[in-house]
Amino acid sequence: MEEDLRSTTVPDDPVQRRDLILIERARDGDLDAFNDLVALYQDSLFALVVRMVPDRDQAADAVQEAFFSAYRNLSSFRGGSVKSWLNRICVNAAMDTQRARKRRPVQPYPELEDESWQPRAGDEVDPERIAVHAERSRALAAALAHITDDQRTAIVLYDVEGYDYAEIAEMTGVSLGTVKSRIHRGRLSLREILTDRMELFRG
Amino acid sequence: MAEHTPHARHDRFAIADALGGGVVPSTVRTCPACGALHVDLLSIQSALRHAWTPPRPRDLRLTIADVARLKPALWRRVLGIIGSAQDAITRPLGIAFTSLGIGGLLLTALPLGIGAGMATTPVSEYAIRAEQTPGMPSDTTGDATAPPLTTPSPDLLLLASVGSLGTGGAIFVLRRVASRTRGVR
Repeated sequence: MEEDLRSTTVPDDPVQRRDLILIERARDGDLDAFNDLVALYQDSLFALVVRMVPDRDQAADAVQEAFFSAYRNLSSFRGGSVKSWLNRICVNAAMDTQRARKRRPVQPYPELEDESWQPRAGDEVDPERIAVHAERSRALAAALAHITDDQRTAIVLYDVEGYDYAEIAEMTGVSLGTVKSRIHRGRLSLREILTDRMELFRG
Repeated sequence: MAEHTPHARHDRFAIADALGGGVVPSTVRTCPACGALHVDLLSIQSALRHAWTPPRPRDLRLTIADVARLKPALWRRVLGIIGSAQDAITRPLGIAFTSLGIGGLLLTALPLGIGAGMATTPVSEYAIRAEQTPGMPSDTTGDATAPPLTTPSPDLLLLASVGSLGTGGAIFVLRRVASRTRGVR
């Protein structure tokens, strides 16, 4: 279990090399090293999970749980991409949250209306474009919140995260055909929901 | 052909599939509604990739208190060691117990003299000889009053075998549970 990660990895990629060094230090009990990893990946992981669980607080809780799980299971990391490893743990945590919501349906996902939506630094400078982009993002988030959890997960993993059908099937524990069906039905549902707002997306 | 069939009968799933590298159906070119659907799906897919997400509500770095809470309990630590690379004991131990159990069961089941036949003789022939000649010290046992040499009764052997088999099985079950507990979800 406590094998030397350097022997199992490709050290050519500086990002992977950095991540593996941090993982090794974290395994040795260095909390700062683990927190460096958290700082590096918390934004991208939150962005992934908040698309699957369209509730900011629940999404943050799911990512937090994923980091807890990663910390508890540092010894089971067997090399390779730390980002992929964390992504998978986060996807599982997000699916657990979705299941918990199904068991205890308290309220539908709140609309993600929030003035604090901001572009990434350097993304946009034109205020009009920023406004359109923000409006488009809100419309998409609201539409995503209205399709089923399974469809949303499959679409986010395929269209946003770039996983292929087989990887999504393995991550979600369903067949390849089911993954394709969920993605196709989800896409058609999104279009149905956004029919009146399609002018936002054209051009 | 496609241009003569109404849009409602066109395969919308095939159009959705085309976004994932599938063949673009001919209806996309021949049917305006299918063409519009294809364009809309492509626009949505592209927008999804570039959509902003709301800001993260809090910092997710772990605190010392979190780490203290995450420290596994003793039983979890023991489970963590079982079946891991550090554990060089449980597997051979499980195999040994299981082998002993199977061996014992075979021995009790065997109708030959080496098995149950031998075990059914509760008193050894030395003890019998000593009984037949009272007062005569046995040249082999030395003391006729000494407890007779016996082999385990079949019930005892059966019990020990089943116990050994159960222990071996329990060790393997424990290893399986440990490996599942260690898996990261």
